[in-house]
Amino acid sequence: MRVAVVGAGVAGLSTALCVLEQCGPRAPALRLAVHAERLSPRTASDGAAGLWQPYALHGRSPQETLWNKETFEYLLGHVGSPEAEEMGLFLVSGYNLFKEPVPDPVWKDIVLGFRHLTPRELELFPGYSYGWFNTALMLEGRRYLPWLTKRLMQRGVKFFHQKVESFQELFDQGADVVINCTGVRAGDLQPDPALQPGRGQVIKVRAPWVKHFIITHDLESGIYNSPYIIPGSEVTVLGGVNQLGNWSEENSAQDHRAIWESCCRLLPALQDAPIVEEWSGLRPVRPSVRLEREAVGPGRSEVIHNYGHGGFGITIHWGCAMAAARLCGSVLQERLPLRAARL
Amino acid sequence: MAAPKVAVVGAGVVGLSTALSVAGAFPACSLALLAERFSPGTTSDVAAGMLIPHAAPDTPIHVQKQWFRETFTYLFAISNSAEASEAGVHLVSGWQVFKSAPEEDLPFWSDVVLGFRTMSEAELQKFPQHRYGQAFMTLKCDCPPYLLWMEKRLKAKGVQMCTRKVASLWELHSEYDIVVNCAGLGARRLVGDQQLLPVRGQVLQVHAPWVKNFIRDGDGLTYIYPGINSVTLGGTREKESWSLCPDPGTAKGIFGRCCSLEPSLRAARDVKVKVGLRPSRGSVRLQREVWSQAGAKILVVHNYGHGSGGFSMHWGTAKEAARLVGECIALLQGSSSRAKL
Repeated sequence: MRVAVVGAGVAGLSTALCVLEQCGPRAPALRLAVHAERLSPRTASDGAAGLWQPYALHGRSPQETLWNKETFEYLLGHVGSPEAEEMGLFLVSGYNLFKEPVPDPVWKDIVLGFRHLTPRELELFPGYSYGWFNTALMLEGRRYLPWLTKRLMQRGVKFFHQKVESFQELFDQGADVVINCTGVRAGDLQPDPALQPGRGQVIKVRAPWVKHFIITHDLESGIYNSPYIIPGSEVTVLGGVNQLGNWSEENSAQDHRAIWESCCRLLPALQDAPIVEEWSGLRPVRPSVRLEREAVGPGRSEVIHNYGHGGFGITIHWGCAMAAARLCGSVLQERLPLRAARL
Repeated sequence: MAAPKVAVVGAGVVGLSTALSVAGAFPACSLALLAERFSPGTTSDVAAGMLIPHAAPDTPIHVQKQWFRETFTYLFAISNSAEASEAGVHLVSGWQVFKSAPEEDLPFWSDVVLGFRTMSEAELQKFPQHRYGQAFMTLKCDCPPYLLWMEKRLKAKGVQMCTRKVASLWELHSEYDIVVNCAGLGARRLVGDQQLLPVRGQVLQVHAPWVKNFIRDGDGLTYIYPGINSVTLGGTREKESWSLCPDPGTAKGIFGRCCSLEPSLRAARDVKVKVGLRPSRGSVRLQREVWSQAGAKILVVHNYGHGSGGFSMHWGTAKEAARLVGECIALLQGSSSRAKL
């Protein structure tokens, strides 16, 4: 049985691993291949800071909340393991700041130690009058993706660094099922008007004294369009731009200034932090994650879609990967008699 | 009369902060700082610099709380300023966990640190050997940066900094009117204080930049404190041990204990072993004396014996020491005006 995964960001690689783990035991002849135009460190997952946090306001569906929860619990279970450092996985605590009181997020009981900020803590952030503090997780794409890749290669998964032009191309090569994890460029394989880029830009600095994430929210400018500071294991990521419909992956001087000034206002000591890197990437924004199977083409071949994770790909990846793997399992089960008939 | 000549002896966290406090309160003084050792060779350089006090047995709790609160407030403002990274002062949050319920629900400092609360069941699951825990946010002063930053500010205020081993405070009587004794453990020999005893602490400083939260066992012996460029793993509290030599068996023990609290530390690299002798005493000696002998006189202010609480209490005791220096100055001015009559 041959499974072709398209896309090697966090969705593609984790789905491939779930398929191996879930479907492999029942289908020993399973052969998996990953086809991707971009590999780590060139994917959107690599540019992201890697903080586990769903949208704070504007709740998404209960299904997505469940996938987020599954991902958090899976990662929390691994944070004490010997693998954690290589995976780029660790606990981190921090602040969410608002200019007015807001309802608690649906994920308040998923994270650890969720509480509201005290007045003394809010003194640190003039302009913000309300906020949360909690412990969450970091999963750094630049470490996680190579870790996933290594595990996949160890289990015989083949990687093809090439752009797939159509699903049919893969079916013609003998794939029994294709898993579509192409993120923001899913439209190249099948038009999807619901999918659009949410352009982000980040400045990575050396600021190892910053031990907490700080995410600000501005109800008017919208999600990720307000400054944020996220401490990674090697660099601290400054960001706060989310431009819907903008396909440019070039760094913008104007965005740089806006991010730099707003983050330095939040943490004045950042002014002295040396800049290590600047990066722009495209979030695959969609009103809901597309996670479903679809029969395509004259041959009614099965594609499993798993894309459209917006700015919360890391946050939701494992729940989605498991769901996509379950769908894959069903498809493979259905195709078994067909396969047997061909022999 | 001429500007009083003040010497501060000692360049650890207590000496430097006391000098800063005196310089700030009495800009007219001529101030010098004398020490045998400067950063990175002081006891303070070995400490993690965490603001988590230990209750000293002989000082009233309300006094310790006041010193802690003054120190916390002072450092909180620095952590929030543009100088935070140069000063090495930063906020850090984490957990203090206990294998059995602690004696007091609320330590005296619980309302000084930020966001103090009991840990939830979910949080405690990360610590299977511990039954109870407290979560809070506090401040950390990384050394050498914090000491070097204070030295820089002292130099900017015109304070003379001299590397000098002072064998006896008397030797200073002809050059200085007031001597502030911040010699830490050195005070044992310097002023003959037999109550002052070392409590040996060995720590490991490791590269583990993914550790962002502190973890401390309530017994005070095992702790993980993430600093700017390294994580401090501890520790030991060996009463009356004078050895400054790192012990390999102890190092292994510390590493093992810390890895049980935080398994990811197994991947830590670049392990450096350090030893410091905490200058321990039932209480901080914070008092002034007049020393006179054969017509010579010096006014002495003592500020030493902070034990484990050097960082936690330093600014509060520095302010008190400066106040005592003020009393000394008044004494000098009083006798000087009497002399004029």
